[in-house]
Amino acid sequence: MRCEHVQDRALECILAGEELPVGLLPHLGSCQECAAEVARLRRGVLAARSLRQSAVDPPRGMKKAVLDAIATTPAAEPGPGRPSWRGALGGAVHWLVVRPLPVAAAAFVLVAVTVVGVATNRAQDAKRARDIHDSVERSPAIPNCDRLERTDWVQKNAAFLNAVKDAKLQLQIAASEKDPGTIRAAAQGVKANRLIEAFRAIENAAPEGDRRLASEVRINLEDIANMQP
Amino acid sequence: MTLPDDVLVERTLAGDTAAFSALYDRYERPLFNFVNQYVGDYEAAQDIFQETMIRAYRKLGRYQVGTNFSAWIHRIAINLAKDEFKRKKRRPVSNIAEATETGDETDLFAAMAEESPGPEKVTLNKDTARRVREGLARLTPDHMQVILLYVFQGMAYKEIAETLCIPIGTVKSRMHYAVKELGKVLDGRL
Repeated sequence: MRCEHVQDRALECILAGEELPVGLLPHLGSCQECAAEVARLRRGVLAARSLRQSAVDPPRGMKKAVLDAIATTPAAEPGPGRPSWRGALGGAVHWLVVRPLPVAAAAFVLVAVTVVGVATNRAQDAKRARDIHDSVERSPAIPNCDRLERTDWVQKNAAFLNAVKDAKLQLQIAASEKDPGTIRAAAQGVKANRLIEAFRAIENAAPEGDRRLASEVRINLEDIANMQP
Repeated sequence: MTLPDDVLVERTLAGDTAAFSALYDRYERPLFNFVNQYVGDYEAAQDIFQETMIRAYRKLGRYQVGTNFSAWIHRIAINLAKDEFKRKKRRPVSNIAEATETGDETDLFAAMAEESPGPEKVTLNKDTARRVREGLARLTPDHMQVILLYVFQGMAYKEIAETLCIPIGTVKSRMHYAVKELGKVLDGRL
C-alpha cells in the first residue's frame, strides 16, 4: 500500500471524525513515517477545530443595517422556470382537504408528534451537552492527563504520549465549550483517535500510579464519546 | 422544524423578507467568523459580511435552486475578501495582534498546572488559540480557505470543491498541507 494513499485516507477519516479503516493499520504499524504523519495530521485537525474557540460574536446592529439596506433596493427577481413554494404548500393543503377526515387527522398528529419529538430530542441533547461540559470542567482529568504525560512509562512509549496529548487537547476543547455541536465534534474526535482504547492499554500495562491517572482520564473521555452526534 | 436553504430562497424570491431574515440568522455567525478569520480584520470582516448579504439578496435570482446555497454565498464572500486583499495589497494575517496581547509564550502543554483551577485553563486555552491562529496566518489564502470552510461550515471535500470551484484532488492536497502545518504548531515546531 502506498504511503500517499494511506495518509490521504487517514486524513479523510480524521476530518470526518471516523475511526481509521482496519486495512490501514498494518501499514501504519510498520511504516514509522506514515505513523508520524498521521499523528501530526490528527493534531492538525484538533488545532483546526480549536479555531472554533476563537469564534467571535458578530457586531450588534449589523442585521438591522443589512435589512435596512435591502429594504431600499429592488427585490431579488426570481429566475425563469423556478418551482413555486406556494404551489407546493397549496398542494399539501389540498391533499389534506381532499382526504377523508380521519386520514387528514392522522397525518396532522404524525407531523405534530414528529415535531415535538425532534424538539424534545434537541432539548435533551442540549442538557446532556451542558452536563458533560460541567462534568469535564470540574473533573481532574485534564491535570491528570498532564501528570500522566510526564511519567517515565508514557514518555518511553511514543504512541501513548501522542494519545495523552491528543486527549488533553480534546478535554480542553470540551471543557471550554458549551455548544452541543462542538462537544459532539470533540466526541467524534475522541472516537476517531481511539483515545479510549489507548488509555485502556495504559491501564493494563502501566505501573499502578499511572493506571489510576489513565483510568480517570478514560472515564471522562467515555463521557464525551457517549455524546452521539 | 428547520427549513432548507432553498425553501427560504424561494420564499425570499416570492417577496417574503422574513425568509431572508431567517437565511441571515442561519449564516450570520459561521459566515462572519469565516470572513473574520480569513481577512484577519474585524472591521473589514464586518464590511465584507454586510456586503455579502446585501449582494446575495440582490443577486438571489441568479442562484440556481437545487445546487448549493452555502457554496454560493461563500463564493460571494471570498470574492469580496479577495477584492479587499487587492485593495490593501496584502495577504490575510488573521487576528494575531489582538491574540498576542492576551496570550503568553508558555509552552502549550507545560503550562498546565498540576491541579489547574479555572483561570489557568483559560490562559492555556488562549495560548492554544493564539498559536493556532499564528499557524493559520502562515498559510496561503488558498490553504486557509479550505481549513476555514471545514472548521466553520463543517464542509467536506466535495462541498469545499464546489464552493471554491476547484477539483476535489486540489482540495485534498491543500487540506493535507494545511492540516500538516497546523499539526506542527501543536508539535511546538513553529
